[in-house]
Amino acid sequence: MIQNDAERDKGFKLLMDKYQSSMYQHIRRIVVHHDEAADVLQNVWIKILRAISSFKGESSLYTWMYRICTNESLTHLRKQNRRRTQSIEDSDDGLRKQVAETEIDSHLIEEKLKKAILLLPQKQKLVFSLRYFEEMNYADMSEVLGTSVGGLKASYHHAVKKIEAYIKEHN
Amino acid sequence: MDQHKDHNQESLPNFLKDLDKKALEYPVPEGFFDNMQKSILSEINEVQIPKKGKTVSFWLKAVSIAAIVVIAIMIGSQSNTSENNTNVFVDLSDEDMQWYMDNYTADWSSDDVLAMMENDPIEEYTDIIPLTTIELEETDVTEMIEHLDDDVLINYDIEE
Repeated sequence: MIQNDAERDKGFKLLMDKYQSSMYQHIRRIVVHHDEAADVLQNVWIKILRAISSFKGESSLYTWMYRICTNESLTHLRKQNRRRTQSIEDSDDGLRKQVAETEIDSHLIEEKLKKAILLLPQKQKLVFSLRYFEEMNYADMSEVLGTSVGGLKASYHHAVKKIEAYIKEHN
Repeated sequence: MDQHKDHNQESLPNFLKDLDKKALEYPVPEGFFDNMQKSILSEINEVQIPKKGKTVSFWLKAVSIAAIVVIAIMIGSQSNTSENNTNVFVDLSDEDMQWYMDNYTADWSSDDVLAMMENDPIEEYTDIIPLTTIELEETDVTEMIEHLDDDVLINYDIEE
């Protein structure tokens, strides 16, 4: 449908309908603020739709789109923090400090979990987000993040332990 | 997307297993995705217009360059020499010639004047008055001849 000019817009719309919500959530967990997530998501879709006709199918469309999504989010964070910091890990430290200082109004476990996730180091946050929320298997995650399956499993394990410790501490 | 889901999560703490993941989603403003889709499709469709624009732009550039070359050749062929100016001048009607003379005489350069003199020999505009007999007697003919051009002499019968 996407290859056919007459049907192309309809095909694009179907694709966006299917993935836009989960992609927005994934981006939002990385960049935190809605306005920034909206900008990143729009750029992601424009890149995907422009390049989709030349997509080679070497990976699945799903992992290809999430790879673009993750890279664009990290690139956005890097740009935002370029003046103040030297690396994505430094910028992540700044973001975590900012989140840690934010008071949680609600005592709901969901709110605490959101904050616990935001406080994770960037890589653990990505791995936890893809694994827990998107329920992505490790092979696909390996394609998205370019990391070995063993490394991803270790990151996910550490992320879960840190979240558990945070929840226990703030209960 | 469900085909990508891996529901066999490794051992998770109970509170993570029991959570409603939907409740953990960040809310979005109403109509956000619809507006974003319109904006994206509009931008994607605009991208294709420059492809035609590029083609048009290429031909416009090509035609412009060709026009510049033709104009440059035409200008080059119309070199501003005295000869060409004279030819143009000769082709003028009497009325135009008069207007030109009235208005542009001051613009003549010394080259223009010399060129006109070459085209219009001074002899055609000069009456050479023949010498009288007395003058001839008083004049050393030989000396006089040395000061005259051959062309002038041809036209006169020197009275002995």
